[in-house]
Amino acid sequence: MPSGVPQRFLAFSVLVFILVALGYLGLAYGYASFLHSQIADGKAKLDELGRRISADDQKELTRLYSQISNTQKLLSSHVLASRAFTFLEANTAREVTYIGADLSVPDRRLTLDGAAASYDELVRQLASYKRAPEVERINLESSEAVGGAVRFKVNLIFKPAILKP
Amino acid sequence: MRPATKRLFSILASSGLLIGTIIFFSSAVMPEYKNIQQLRGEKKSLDAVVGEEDRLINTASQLLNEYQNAANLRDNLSLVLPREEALPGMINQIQGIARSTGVTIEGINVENLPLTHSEKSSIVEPVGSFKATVRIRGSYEASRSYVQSLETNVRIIDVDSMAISGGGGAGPLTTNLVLRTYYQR
Repeated sequence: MPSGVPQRFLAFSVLVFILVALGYLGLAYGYASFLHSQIADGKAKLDELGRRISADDQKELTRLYSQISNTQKLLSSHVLASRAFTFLEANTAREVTYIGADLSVPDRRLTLDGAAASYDELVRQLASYKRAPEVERINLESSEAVGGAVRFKVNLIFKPAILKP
Repeated sequence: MRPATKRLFSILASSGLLIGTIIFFSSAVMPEYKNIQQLRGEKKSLDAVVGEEDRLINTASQLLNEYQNAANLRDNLSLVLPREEALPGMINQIQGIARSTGVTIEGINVENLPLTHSEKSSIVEPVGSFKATVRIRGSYEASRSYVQSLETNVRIIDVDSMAISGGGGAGPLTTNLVLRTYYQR
């Protein structure tokens, strides 16, 4: 057997090899097996959790959640068309009568077919619409003096918030 | 064998063993280490999923228990947004409101509209709706009261459009209403 430096070098090489071989065996057959068994346990637990709530209960829960979510959504977009009545009651001159009214909620458009006692009265009525904070814009579609009264047709566009609860 | 030759062989063997060890380390130990890192990552994410699932299942179980105990909630929600079309119920409500507000119903037409989905990936079930065209006859106060009652009805009813005619005289008003009401599929 050689002595001195070659011997120590050989011992060092053998030691390094043994350490690397032990490290490999530990990783491949110890830690890896441990991790595999932990993963298998986790998957089994996940399956068990999945079975804790029955399919019927899951369906019922989905329906309940859907009902709440859909109701919330529908209520947030709910409209109050009757606000048009309130608006007309507050903003109609004494000498003006309405023959017809047409409200389109999606367009926020109220078309009024009415009669005013005179053109002066019609102008006052249009000014009243203009002043109303609920109205975004107005458009006098037509006006005609008929038998001592003035028939008119006017379009009012409401502000978006007016028809909301 | 001469001592010098023995030393040479010893050095060569040691070097060979060391080189072999390095080759073994890079070709077997390193890939195994990468595999271990991958498994650790998998375990960590699985633990997170199990934890989250456990939390969700507990919340869901608690909700189900509360929901099963609160029969009123289920009934009330089904009045606001029925779980079926419930068309006869809707016509009954439209008619009942007319009776209580003093207007006369001259006609009702109902049209089933396509389903609307919240979002493509959402678990929320779709909403179906009916468009009902209702023609009523009554005084101004009664017509106004009818529209207000529809708006505050338990089952959600939206007024899409409203056309009033017959004003300017002493006779009753005729109002054409286009209503929209909903149900959950």
